[in-house]
Amino acid sequence: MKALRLHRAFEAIWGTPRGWRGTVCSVNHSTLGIRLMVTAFAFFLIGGVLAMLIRAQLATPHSAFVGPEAYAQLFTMHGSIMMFLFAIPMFEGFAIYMLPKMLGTRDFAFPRLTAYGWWCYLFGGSMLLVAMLAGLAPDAGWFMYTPLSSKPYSPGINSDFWLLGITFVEISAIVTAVDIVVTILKMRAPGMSLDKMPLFAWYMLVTTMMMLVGFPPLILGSILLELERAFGWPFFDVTRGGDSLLWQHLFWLFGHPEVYIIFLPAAGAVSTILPVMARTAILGYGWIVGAVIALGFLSFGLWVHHMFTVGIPHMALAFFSAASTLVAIPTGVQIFAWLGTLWAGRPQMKMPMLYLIGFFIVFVMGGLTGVMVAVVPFDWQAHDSAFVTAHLHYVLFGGFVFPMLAAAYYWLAHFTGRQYQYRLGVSAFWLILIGFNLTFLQMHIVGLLGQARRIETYPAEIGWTAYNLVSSIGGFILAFGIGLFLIDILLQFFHAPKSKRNPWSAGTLEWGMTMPPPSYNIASIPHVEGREPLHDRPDLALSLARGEGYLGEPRNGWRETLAVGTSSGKLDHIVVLPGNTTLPIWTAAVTGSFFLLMLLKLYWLTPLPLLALVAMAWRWAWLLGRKEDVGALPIGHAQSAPTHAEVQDPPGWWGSIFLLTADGTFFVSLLFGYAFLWTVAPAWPPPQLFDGGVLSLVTGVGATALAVIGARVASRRLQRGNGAGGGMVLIGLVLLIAALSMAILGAPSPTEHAYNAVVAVLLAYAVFHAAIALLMQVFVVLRARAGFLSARRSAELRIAQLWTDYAAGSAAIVLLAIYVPALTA
Amino acid sequence: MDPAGPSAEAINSIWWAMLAGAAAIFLLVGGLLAWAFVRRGDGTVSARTWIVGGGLIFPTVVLLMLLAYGLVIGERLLPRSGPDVVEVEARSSRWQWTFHHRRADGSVLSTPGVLHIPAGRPVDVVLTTQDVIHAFWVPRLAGKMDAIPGHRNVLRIEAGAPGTHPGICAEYCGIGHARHSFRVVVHDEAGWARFLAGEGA
Amino acid sequence: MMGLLRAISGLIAWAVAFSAIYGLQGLGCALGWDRVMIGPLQLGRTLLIVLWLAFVAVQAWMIWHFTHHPRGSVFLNRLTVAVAVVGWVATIYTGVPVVLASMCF
Repeated sequence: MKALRLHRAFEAIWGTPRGWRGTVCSVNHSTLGIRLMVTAFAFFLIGGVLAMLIRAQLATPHSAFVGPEAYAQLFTMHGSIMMFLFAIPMFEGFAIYMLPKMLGTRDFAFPRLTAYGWWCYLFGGSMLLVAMLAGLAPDAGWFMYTPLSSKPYSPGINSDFWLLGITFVEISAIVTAVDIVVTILKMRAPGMSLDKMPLFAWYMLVTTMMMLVGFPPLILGSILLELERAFGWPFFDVTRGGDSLLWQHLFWLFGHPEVYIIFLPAAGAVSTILPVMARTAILGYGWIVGAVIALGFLSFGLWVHHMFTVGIPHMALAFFSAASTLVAIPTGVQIFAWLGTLWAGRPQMKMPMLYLIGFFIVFVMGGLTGVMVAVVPFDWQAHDSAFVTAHLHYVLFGGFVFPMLAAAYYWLAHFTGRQYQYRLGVSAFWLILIGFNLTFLQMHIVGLLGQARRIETYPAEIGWTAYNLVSSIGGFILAFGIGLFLIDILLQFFHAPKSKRNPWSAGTLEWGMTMPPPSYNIASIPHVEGREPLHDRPDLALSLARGEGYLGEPRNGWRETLAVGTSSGKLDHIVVLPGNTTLPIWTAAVTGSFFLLMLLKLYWLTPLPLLALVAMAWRWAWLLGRKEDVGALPIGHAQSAPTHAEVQDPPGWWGSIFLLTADGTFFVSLLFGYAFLWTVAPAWPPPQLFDGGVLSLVTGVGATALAVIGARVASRRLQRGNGAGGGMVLIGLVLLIAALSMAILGAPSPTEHAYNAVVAVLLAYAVFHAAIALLMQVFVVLRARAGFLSARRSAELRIAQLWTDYAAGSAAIVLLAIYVPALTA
Repeated sequence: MDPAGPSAEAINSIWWAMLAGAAAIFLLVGGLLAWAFVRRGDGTVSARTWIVGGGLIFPTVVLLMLLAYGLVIGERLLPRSGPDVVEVEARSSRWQWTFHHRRADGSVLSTPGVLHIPAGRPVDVVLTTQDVIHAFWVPRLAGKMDAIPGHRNVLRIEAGAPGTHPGICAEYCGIGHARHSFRVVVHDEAGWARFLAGEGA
Repeated sequence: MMGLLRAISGLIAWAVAFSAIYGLQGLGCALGWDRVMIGPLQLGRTLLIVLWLAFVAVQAWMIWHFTHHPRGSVFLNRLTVAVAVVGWVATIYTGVPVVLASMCF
């Protein structure tokens, strides 16, 4: 039994220790994916209970069930939990669990980052729960419009909980997105070129790229608002040069793509499940890929349609109205590709299919009302009314929850290891479908009649009582349905008979393993020839289990898997992944303590966790690498490949590229804010412009050039085998920090005018990045001394160079953005 | 909806047109979905017909028409200047609306909680706020517009006939949000003259 | 990766066009260019139309270029051309308001 011997050997390398030690140190993607999904589902239930309380309050006019203060916390937390603590972590967890299995690899590109993301999410989410239990939950609505959320109108700690807690969770979302992007682009089975990738991976690739571009504006907005609340920097205070509309732009710049970020993974699940249910292949693979990419871009051109009533010129509204209708076309392409697939095949009415039908009905209605609110004059009527509440629930519940319920049944065997037995599932489905429509269908009408969002009471004589009572009854039916679903799923863990490997006869690789899958997924890695490897080779699963693919023999106790060329899918190198460690939980705890100190207003203590973070990041990176070249190693089938330490672009380099993409969007959003205030805010131009002296400008720009050139000199010396010589780049970065600090000292007080505050943030941004680059360059010098770098092991130097270039480039832009208007005035 | 003025009527007509279109599309998709289960597929379905015809051409045509329709109506609802336009300033604060009318002699008539307008004449409501963001909405007369700190927004409303309509704050503005409402009293010509003279309020 | 970047360049061009047109509209209104007339034309609207048509032209060239200079796999080439067409249509479609709608009103 070769398969069993291999199983034991791989399990020893990839497994997680039992008990609490395993809990805190595991970096395994299956374990973490399940944890994320379970936690997200728990938040879904909590958010659902809040919704029930809202519906109980609105069931009758003049209800005295909860007061307006508690009601404000209820709807704010319901929205925030469902968006940030349920939907995003749920699909992330699903992707973390499923992607490596679909792509034919053994784990994620950055296993420790996966774990860090989960701990950050858990800690950040807990912060918000604690706030809620203490009665201090955020209460300014889930989109936190200023000035309602600003200090004068929300003096309590409530809003700080939102800003800090959500930012903490967003950090988790960003690192997870980097993790997912690099895994999809690099960590596939050899042969899996982009056009052979499972559609779900395409959907996730687009989704996570959108997260990298969409989340930074919100993080920026939250930081600016927290700076205003904590230190009085007036970004949004109109009396001191700020503008509350800046918040709306930054929020919706995130907020609209967010809807698609939530919908696309679910649509990816639909595109995966639906052809299997119809016993055929998906219709128009290439069309769908194009449509998903188009959605990824177009959805960034919609954000102002949440701001149709803020008094923007009609032409600007029309741009966004056009983009908002345009975005329906790629959605239409997908809908018709799915319908065509069903027509081409012979669909079978199993549990997943039932939920897909629910998805079609509910989501198509949400899409149609979405087109309606894209039409400007109609939106003037519907905006901020119950019509919009109904629309967004049709889109999000229809477009996310229904597909996820289908996915739960489709991939159930992965978690239970058992066949699905019809029990309560069908009744649960009908309760959910009927309950949902009873809750939200007539909400469209009462919205158009004038019921605004977020009211906690309404007069009896206005005639909305019947609508609201039916909604509330529907809400409770829906809740029973969800409860029944939960019971149904739990029962499956105990009763049903063992599942076979591939219960649906699907073609994708995640079904080519035992159920539930082992920690290493597959004992050897296949060479992929088509989109449905299990259909192409029915014996593939057993062959892989016998170690007949790549890397079928454990080596040195290493966690080995393969990396490929991003587009071609050609074998590129071996990735040796780090093993279990408690570093992620500690780093997340330190990150959390920073946010906690901010929350408790102990600002003078915050440098401590920041220093600790530097130390941990240092250790994080120092643990990797080797002190000798090992060259190319055999991987089976008479082929060999170098390890990631000896290639030019290991996953770490790619990770830096995508992290910098997110960072760059953050920076561009900041520049947008600067330009926006300058052109739109009433109290501009500022009374006094920056006057920091030309010396720091000249020194600063010169220093950026020195750093960029120095980084290249160091790289060339290493390539020639002369060791790393970082003298010039170090001097350049130190000079840059000095010049920027000088400018900061000469800058006017940030509390006086939004201009001053923006200048301060720009300079702080530049100093922060120069400091990161400096730390990295020092790290590289010490690594070279310790023998970790050689002409072949030069990737760390290349990564440091990337960050140095970014720091130098952004610092130069910051200096120009500050000095050019000041000098030309 | 029960429109009581030309803006609201225009929006109402868009609504019914879109509802009819949406219902037709919904039935089409539902029908195609249901039929997939009745017929037995044989694997020969043309990607071109389904995706290009159904997914590309069909929605593009529908959406282009809708966009143009919406733009034209939107242009018509803009607050353009005209000889008989009445201007009222609506000052919002937590949680009260105060309306300021400027008389011909330059004096200002303030009415808290009640907006007086003449029937059959376009009215520009100039929206300002003393504190947070509010939104002015009279569901039966027109769409809504936000009052943003530091900005002056203008909403055009018009009522066809004398009467009284409820108005509300549509943007969440704190715990008094649900009660942040007002009334619109529409006068006939004589009533409007009396109001401006300070008798009808 | 360069292949993938090339594949999405058509929609990147749309994103640039959309931001540039929206930015110019905001700037033009802030500087009062809707009230500056050059002959019978508003300065602001004229600039917007020129910018819009320039992007439409550049993106049309992109489609031509990608069709005539294939690189990499058949799949990626098809995707590149399709995305370029989508980006071109999107620029035309979302730019229509520069001729139809009131600029700063």
